[in-house]
Amino acid sequence: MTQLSLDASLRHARILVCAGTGGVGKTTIAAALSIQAALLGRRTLVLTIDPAKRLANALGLESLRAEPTAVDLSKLGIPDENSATPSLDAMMLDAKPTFDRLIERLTKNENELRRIFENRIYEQLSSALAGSREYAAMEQVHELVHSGLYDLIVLDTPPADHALDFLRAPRRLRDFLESRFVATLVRPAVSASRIGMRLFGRPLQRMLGLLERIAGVGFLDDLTEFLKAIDGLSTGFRERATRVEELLLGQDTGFVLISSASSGHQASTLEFMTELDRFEVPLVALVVNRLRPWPPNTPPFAIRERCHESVMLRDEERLREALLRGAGHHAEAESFDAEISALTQAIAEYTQICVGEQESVSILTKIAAQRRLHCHTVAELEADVAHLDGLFEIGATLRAKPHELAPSPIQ
Amino acid sequence: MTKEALRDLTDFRLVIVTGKGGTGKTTVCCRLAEAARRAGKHVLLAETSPIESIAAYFEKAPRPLGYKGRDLRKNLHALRLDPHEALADYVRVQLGLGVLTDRILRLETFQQLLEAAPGWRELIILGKIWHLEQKRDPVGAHVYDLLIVDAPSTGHGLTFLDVPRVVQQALRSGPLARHASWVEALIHDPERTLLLPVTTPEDLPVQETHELVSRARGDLGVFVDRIVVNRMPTGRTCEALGILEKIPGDLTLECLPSIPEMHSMLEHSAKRDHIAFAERERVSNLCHLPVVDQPVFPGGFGVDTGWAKHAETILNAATWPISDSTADPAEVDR
Repeated sequence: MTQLSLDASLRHARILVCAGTGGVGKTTIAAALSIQAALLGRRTLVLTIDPAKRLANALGLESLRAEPTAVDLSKLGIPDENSATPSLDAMMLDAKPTFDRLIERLTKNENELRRIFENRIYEQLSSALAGSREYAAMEQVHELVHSGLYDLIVLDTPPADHALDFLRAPRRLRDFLESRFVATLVRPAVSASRIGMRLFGRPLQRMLGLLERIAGVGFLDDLTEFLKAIDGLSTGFRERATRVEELLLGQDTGFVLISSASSGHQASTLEFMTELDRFEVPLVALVVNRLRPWPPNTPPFAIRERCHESVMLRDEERLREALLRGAGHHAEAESFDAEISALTQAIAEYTQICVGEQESVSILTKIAAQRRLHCHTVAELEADVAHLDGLFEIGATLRAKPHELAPSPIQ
Repeated sequence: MTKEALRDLTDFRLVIVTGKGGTGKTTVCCRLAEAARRAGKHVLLAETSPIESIAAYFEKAPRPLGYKGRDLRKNLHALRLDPHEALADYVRVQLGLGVLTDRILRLETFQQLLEAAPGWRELIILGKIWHLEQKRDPVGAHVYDLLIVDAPSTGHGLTFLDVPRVVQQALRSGPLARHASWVEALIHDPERTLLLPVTTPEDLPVQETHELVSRARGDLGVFVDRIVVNRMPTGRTCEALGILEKIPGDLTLECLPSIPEMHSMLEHSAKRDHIAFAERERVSNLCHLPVVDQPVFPGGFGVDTGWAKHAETILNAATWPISDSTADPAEVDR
């Protein structure tokens, strides 16, 4: 493959993951991309996590539910490129019930199921287990990919401080279930008698002792009971965890890394990228979201450069004269000082923000280019996306033109 | 909700700062720490993210803080609450278990157990915070007057504060359950502990703040009395736009953008500002809480504006946005 492109992924990938740090607009981008894919004739599902009410509205849905709901794209009035009726479903991920459902699916009888659900540890495990939410999400994706109902699933990722909690989750769970610790506790002959534990060596025995000292009497019994209960399931668990991981890191998956345009944010995006690399994640594009529009032809840093003190004073004088002329002869020149400073400050603020953002974009564009990736920019809209056509426009921009390397003070 | 003056932020013992990812929690933490330090308080600033970012606010070439941490300024100690080190610390110091435990803690099996075990990181970190709050000097005075925690973002943040309760439910006895109850007592004490939500004036962060505040008042039982609205526009745009309208469009300028260009820039700002003010009002109404604004400070042309210069703005009195309409900003937009 030569240069990877977002357009190619929209046409051929089976899963498109929108990743990025919090607050960068992953959900909006995911929705926008899914509309494009649907218009390309692919049966598409956008799977989002905790979307804004407004986004659900934008998709024409009252609220997003935990089951696929059809999005009516006919409102767009755009003839799709493959002449079939475009098909787009949207759905919200509901992690907790999914985890329960997973246990239900893997459990063979009622008694076993009750034992698991009533266990003290389970409640904690399913709601607080680091990554269980993410694991459940991945499970759901797996299920949907294999349902055969969709050609492409666009996945919005959960907010995470640590870039890839959701990728790590299946592996973590699998490692744990395969650990000697679990094996020790679930072998009935062993856990039935403390003497049996000696077989597994003193370090492990000490560890269990320590655990009991910290967590109190009864904890190990609860834990053992829980692990025994899910032991029957763990083969299923393990296999699924492996399959989910293969699916996500496989050839048919593309990751879109989304960054905010605000200056200084590129550092965390780069960190995120490094972490994606560690997982050998198939990155297909970089998106810098919500770039503030810059109307002048002269780039913002050039404006900032040339707004020197003395030149600025001459411009301020011109503005003052213009205001004086407008106000008539009885106005005093000094009375406009406050107004002029309010104006130049507002412009300075705006310029400063744009300088920072464009520096950020040019750094990211260069890094993307080194990896033969395109960097796409999405302009900040005057209002938050509230309608389907807003999402369509964002998606169309993304598909159409990646950001070109522009001259910047960084180079 | 009575609209009386709120306590000064620096009067609390523990301020837990949280919010949706990307809203500027760390900046708020640093401003509060700096402002409190300047007010003469002994401040401890703790970060919980595995990737350190606080030192970069105070140093040109930031060095890692680590678990022990160091003084970044006079009366300002900062550290990173690393859960693994905190656990070793806990087992060694709190439980008084010997050197042998180090070997256990390093066991691969134990590491795997930790990787998968629910909530232990949160509990251990909270336990360490409790320990630091209790810390006294030889004379018996508190070592730190104010502890500021840069907590995980909401979503993660809620689990963070809920863990002591869950742990007590799951464990029947033992030191961990007992310690969890001490931690819970600290978190639930409105005299000592404040949850400080940070939001930006945008739809989703506002939504998440509402959920956070509801839960803080509900099952989490953590005191919350104000919301920080970060990156508020200054409100100068409309004024500037009005001035621009008095100037002929063909006026030639030397360095500033042309009048029509400036007009289109300010129009854009004005529309975004409008949303920001509506969202600020919405978050206040939804949560029935006053807000503390944290303006954007990009500064003028060539003006260096460090965050520290405006640190004291975090101590500003919380205000109630004046509501003259109950319109949903979603409707106002179009």
